Amino acid sequence: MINYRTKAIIKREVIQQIFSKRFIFATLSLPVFMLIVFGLQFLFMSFEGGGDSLRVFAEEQNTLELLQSQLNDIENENPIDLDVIYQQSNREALGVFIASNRDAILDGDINGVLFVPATALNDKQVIFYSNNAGNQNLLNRIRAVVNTVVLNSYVNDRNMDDDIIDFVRMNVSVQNIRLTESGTIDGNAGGQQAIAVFFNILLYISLLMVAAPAMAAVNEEKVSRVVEIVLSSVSPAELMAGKIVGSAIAGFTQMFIWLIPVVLVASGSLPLLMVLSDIEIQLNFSMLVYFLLNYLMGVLTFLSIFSAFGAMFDNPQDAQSSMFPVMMLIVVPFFLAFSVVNNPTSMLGVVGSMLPFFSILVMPVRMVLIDVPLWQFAVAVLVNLATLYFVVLLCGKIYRFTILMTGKNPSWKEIYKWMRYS
Amino acid sequence: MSELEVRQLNKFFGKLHAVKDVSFNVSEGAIFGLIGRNGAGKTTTLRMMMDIIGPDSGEILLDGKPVGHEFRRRISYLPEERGLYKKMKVMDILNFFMEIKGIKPAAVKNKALAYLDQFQLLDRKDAKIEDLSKGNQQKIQFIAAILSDPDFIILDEPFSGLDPVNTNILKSIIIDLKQQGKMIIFSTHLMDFADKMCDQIALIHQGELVLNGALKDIKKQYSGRNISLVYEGDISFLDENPMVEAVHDYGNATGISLYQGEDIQKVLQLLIAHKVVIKKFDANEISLQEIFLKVAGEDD
Repeated sequence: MINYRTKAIIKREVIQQIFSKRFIFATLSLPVFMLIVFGLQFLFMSFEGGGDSLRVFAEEQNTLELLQSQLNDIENENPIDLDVIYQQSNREALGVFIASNRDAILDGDINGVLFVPATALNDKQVIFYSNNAGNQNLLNRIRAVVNTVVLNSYVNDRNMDDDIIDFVRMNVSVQNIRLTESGTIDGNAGGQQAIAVFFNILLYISLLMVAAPAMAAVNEEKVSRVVEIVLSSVSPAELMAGKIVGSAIAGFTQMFIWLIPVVLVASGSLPLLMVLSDIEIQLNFSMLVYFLLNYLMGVLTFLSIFSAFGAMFDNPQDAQSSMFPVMMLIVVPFFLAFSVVNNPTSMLGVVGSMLPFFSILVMPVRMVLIDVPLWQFAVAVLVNLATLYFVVLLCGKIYRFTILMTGKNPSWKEIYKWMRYS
Repeated sequence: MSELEVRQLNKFFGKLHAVKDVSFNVSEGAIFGLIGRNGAGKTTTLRMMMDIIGPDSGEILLDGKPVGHEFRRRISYLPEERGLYKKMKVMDILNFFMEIKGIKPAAVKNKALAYLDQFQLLDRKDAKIEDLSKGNQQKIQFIAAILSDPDFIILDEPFSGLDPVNTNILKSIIIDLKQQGKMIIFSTHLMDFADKMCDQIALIHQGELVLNGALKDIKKQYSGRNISLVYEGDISFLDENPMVEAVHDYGNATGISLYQGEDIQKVLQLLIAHKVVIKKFDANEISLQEIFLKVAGEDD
């Protein structure tokens, strides 16, 4: 089926695309960009958590010592750069301190003042002063400490069995278990959602990044008339097939490279992402195979459509401005897939994952979030293959008819006519 | 000796009958000129011969058999409107055009370098196409067309846009190819080139073949009543003369056509009587330009 002529076209397309500056930049920059985003997030979190100045007041000396001990333990385990000054004090003395240090609190020199009254051992009510009531960051960091101290003080004053005390001290631990057809998998919903979003973005970016330049290349061939020389040696079908397969190989290579960091993160082999150590990702081999096959079907489908559009118009501006309806075939499923992330079992998600064009973006998202029934995969694959078949058939006709046509741009009516009668 | 036959080609674009029952034969080792006005149907005919577009009816035969894929390997085409992949380097693009013909680039590397040298482009072999001038890009296209050593070469307006030096280089290569026994078909609306280079011509007018055959035979058919004149003075009196069918005046050189049966000597006597300074008087000589104007210019 693929003869020497088509092979020569494929070879040229692959070389031209893979060695282009645009391709190399995009292939390398996307993973780097995502690492930068994660790194910056970590950096900002570090900045937010550092250099806070806290004053801790307690009416009971015992409570104050427990607070100091707990905060020191935390600081030793995981340095959080918290400057704390402890002081035993009653409400009156606290009032004087607040009055005399109002400016320091307002200026942020003192980020927070915690007061643990004696009554806190009964009603668990403590007071926290700061210049920003919305600043939950510092309060969240000390809330658990205060709770532990109050709880310990409370149980220590009573004669209780150690196992009861241990039980009371213990926090509830939630084990997140994802139910699948084949069994149960320990999982972290956050990790799966992140990978679903990532897959959706990868598909969206790659489909556009591969298909749009292919359209421009076909259009340039037509406008520059180089297509006439090529068509004197190869048939339009061979030329179109060669261009599409060549571009698909380039896109597939790019997608493969982009998936490497994802696989490394999923397997825990990428130490750079230790900041995300509490996020678990469950990706198995069959998911990756489906993702890549699904991508291949998608990229071939959209390359066919975009190539036909490139062939129809006499200049790149007209081709681009007429792309809106076709772009919607990528953009709408992209946004639907985003909504499916929150509820992958919704009717919209189920139907979307088996609809022509939509399936390419929606099914991979559902696949990583839930255990999709096998019949739905089968329907999606059949729908994608059927879509590809009809798109190649129709777009091939359009391409053959229009690649040498010059003059006025075709109307939608004319395009319909070519498809019907050819 | 091979013979390429174009038999009753027809092509419609919507309601426009662009090519109407066009038939002609081209022999091996001949330069064949497909001439006609802009929009006459030359390029469409050539595209159908190259199987770039399919005819609505008619066929192309080589030695009596319909041409197939093998013919495509033996034929090369230089289209009228030039274009190359701008981002590719000169050698890469020549290699690509060889690969789509099933020829390994290494097999023609030395030949490619020799042609580049002949066209004074050897130092630009690693340059990108976009960095070459339009004329140089055209030369690269011509090299791409002949590098595969085709048996049949179709050149659509090969001389347009070339400077006189490069036109001469191109002409000498075409003549060289003819001497090698290649069949060369070129379309042009520049009658001077066709007149000097072609062995056979076909004139297409409004999609129809109106002249076809060996150039010398066509000239013989038209020249009996023609005078080619180079002069100084006023010959406007000829316009009203009942012997004269048409005067194609270019200032100092003129072609004069007489009606059937009129005597050329009488025209010479008239010119002398009107004190026209005659620098050249060539009886029975008609240029292709004149034939072209006579046949294709009748509607204007």
